[in-house]
Amino acid sequence: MTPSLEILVGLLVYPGFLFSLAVGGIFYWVYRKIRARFQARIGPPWYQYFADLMKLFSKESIIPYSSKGTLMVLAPILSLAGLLLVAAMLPIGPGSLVEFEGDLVVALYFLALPGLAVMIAGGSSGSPYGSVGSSREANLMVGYELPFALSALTVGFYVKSLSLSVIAQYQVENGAFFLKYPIATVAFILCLLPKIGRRPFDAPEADTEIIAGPLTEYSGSLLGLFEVANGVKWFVIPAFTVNLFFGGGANPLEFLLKCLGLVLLVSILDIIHPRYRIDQGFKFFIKWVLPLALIDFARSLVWP
Amino acid sequence: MLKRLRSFARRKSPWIMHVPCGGCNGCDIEIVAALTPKYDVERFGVLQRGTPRHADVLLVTGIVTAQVKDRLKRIYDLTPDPKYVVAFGSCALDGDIFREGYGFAGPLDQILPVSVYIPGCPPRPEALIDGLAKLLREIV
Amino acid sequence: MAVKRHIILEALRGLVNPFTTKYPKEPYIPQDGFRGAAEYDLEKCVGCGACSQECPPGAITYTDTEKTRNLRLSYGICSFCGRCEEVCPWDAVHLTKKYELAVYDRKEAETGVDVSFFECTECGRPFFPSPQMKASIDKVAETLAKYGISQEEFARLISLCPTCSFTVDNMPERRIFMRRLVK
Repeated sequence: MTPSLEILVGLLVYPGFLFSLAVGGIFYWVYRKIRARFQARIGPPWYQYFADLMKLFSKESIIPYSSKGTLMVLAPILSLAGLLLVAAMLPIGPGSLVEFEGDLVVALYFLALPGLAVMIAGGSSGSPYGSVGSSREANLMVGYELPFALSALTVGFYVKSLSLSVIAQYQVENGAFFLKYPIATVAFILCLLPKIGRRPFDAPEADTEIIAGPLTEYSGSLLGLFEVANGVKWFVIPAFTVNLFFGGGANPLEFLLKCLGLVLLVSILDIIHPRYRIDQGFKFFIKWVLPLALIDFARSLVWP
Repeated sequence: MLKRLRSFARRKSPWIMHVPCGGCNGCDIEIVAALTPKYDVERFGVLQRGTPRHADVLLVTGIVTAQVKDRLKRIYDLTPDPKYVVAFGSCALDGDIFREGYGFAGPLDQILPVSVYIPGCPPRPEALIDGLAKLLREIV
Repeated sequence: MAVKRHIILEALRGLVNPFTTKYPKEPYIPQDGFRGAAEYDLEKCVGCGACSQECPPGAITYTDTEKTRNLRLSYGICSFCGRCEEVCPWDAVHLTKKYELAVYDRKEAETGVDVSFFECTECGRPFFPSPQMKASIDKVAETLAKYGISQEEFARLISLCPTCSFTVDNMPERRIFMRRLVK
């Protein structure tokens, strides 16, 4: 197969769009089922996420008159594009589709795109609920992007390379990084929660839960695209974490099992907490998470 | 084949929006009770959304008063196709005990096209599940 | 701390054993005294209309045709309060335990009973629901026996419609009958 065809198939099927969507859908179902069981009820069946997607794509999409239509359509595409490009660079098991020196930094940039897309979606919706949700997301992003990037770079500085595959390979040989940098791991996992949009930091998306936040004016296929991005997020972000801190996996099966363990951890953290107010969440990140990330970052610079 | 997949998806994931017009709120309490762990409608894929743009099924309770009539029509227009309206409780059917009042602006099906009527004052949460099942049988 | 332990244990028990009812798979029977849909007992109802007078929202109405009285109870107006069951002198309305009443068409959500009329022995016009005739005679049988009046005589007297019973021929007989009761 020519390289370009290989890349195309990789981007669309494995480990690109279809694979991420399927695995992300299953992880989202695991989250909803565990949440239901903790609340002493039966949860939805395993095909719930895919049925929701198919139903949304078969509904009419209404673009309101007072909104910026082009931006409304572009926002979910932006979010999905960022996530899929990261999925192309992730080493799943032994190798990744595309690798080059410095793809850690590029992945960090692309992983900021879903939050940005939510902000654009809220701002261009033409409704006050959207603007409020968008400003909350901006608030929270200032809080969590910095510890996220610092913890990721800590690992890179230790290995003296900024390539995801090299980091994963190092862990397969020498042992996982969460044993060497446990504080950075804790800070990173705390930053995962607002990235996927889970409690206690889900103030932007579901806070105006009475009215649904930035996604208020979305309907039909556009909402379907956002739900696709949400599902892919449940795979890509835990996979990124497993590659950085938890060993990376020698074969795809071990990799997926580690991702599942991380999904369970995030679910349990979500279930037992209520929602923080937006100012409480922001203060939490600046007061507690940023110092933790800085401690381990300094440690990795001073003691190589 | 695609059509069968589509109607399967529509039947397994009805998202409801609860629209309370001017009633006594007894039916609203029963709807909220249906979302609790005891009667759990989430196992059927039902999610309660706050905005009509995300919803498939509008669950209308309480009598339609003169104040609410225009806003109810606007909410119905905001919902994307294909949409269904369920009249929940005797107030939405024919006015129950409020039908001789001055604010009563007619039974619900003179204002919106209703698919399923669920009588009761208030209907049990199991009656809501039964009504939803009858609605889902009708979905193409 | 003891309260918290009890809560945590209950939450963990809820993990393995959900509290959800098995409703659509297994039918659910409500407790006794549950006020579900009202139903008429077709043999006991005499068509007196007491339920219709008492119903607070006015859900029970009746229309009279030539030969029948049609009682209709519309579930869309019924508030399931139980006044009709309390008030019915013949014990013919009962609030059952049925709660699955969802319909596709508003006109189907109703129940009712049709009662035929009794015709006057003289002029032949229908004037009174016939089950109520027989039921009235049974109800006052004891009092009649105390005064020594036979049931057939009583039945003959009340089988006349109001116009016929106030004619010159029948009036004295009524007067004698009333005097016997007063004495």
